[in-house]
Amino acid sequence: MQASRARLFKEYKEVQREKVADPDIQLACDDTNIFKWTALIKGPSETPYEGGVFQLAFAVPEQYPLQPPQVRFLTKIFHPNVHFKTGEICLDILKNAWSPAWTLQSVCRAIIALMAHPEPDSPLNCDSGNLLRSGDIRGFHSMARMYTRLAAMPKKG
Amino acid sequence: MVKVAAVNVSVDREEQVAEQLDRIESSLSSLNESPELLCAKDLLLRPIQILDEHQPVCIIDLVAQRVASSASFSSSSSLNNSNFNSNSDLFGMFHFVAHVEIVSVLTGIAPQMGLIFKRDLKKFNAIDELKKQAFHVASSSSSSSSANQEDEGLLVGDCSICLQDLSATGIDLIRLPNCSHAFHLKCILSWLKKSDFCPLCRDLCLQKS
Ligand SMILES: [Zn+2]
Ligand SMILES: [Zn+2]
Repeated sequence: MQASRARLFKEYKEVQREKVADPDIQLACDDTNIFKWTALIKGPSETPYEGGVFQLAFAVPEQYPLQPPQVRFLTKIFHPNVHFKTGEICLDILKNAWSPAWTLQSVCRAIIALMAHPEPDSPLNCDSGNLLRSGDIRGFHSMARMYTRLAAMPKKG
Repeated sequence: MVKVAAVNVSVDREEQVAEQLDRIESSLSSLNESPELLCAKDLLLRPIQILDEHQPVCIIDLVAQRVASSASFSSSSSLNNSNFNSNSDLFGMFHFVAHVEIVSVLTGIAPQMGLIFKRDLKKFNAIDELKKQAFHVASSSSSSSSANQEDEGLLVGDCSICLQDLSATGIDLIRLPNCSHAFHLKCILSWLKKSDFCPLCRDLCLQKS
């Protein structure tokens, strides 16, 4: 508990410093609870998520960093490895491949990388996975694009 | 050392397994009185990782899967000979020994069990070995302490587990044998309870290649 607090505090300070360095990720800690974080990540360019801003919620366990944080999308996203309803993310580093060398910041980077490189063979969103697996790239793109527009882009006007 | 006397079961035939499990279960429920044995029961039901298989399994399931042969677990005498510290909480090793012995007595242990056990024992010993290699950065006034100068020279940066400085004086440090990645001793020990892999390179931490 003490160790996880100290580590998160260290990450907090690091995040303050890195804000400028990585404009694609804005990590913020809950004012009253250092175990709750949110992040705003920019959809990677040349993907259907480009131009969107996606919110992630982190629940950090007391055993962190020995255990991975629980991360999910708060913003609706059409992606094979993200559960469409719950926002749950299927990503190995958040499960068996976790290492304490990952930080909340680097997890965000990994999620951005996952957005750019979906793994249709371990789908949490079957519709999306099936589109990609059947080679219907255009179908996938238009669906993903539509949800990016609907959910991840600021309404204009 | 915990011993369960007079429950000598050998699982010889498939159809006996259910019956054996019943017996194990009733034996286990009679273990509830002793906190030490209760812990062993807990371990019996706790998933453990076998060698290189991906899915952790419970000992009890191994028994159920009839991997148990009638071969008896022969190492119990050597168990007693190994130097286990009861105050060592690593992997609940002490309890693990107790637990293996209980299972072995109950089932007439599986060869697989011996493997699991050997593996954990190996890890346990490797960690003991690792602890012996701990060093720390001496304070600048007395640089001629136990710390290895060469090691000191290479210690730049943070421990990737706690993100604190590695070169702080007086804190025990460790360099992993295979990949030479450095961590605070305390930090890597807590990680090794969960994993066999280096946090930085995912190389196997302990096995010398
Ligand atoms: Zn550390
Ligand atoms: Zn390493």
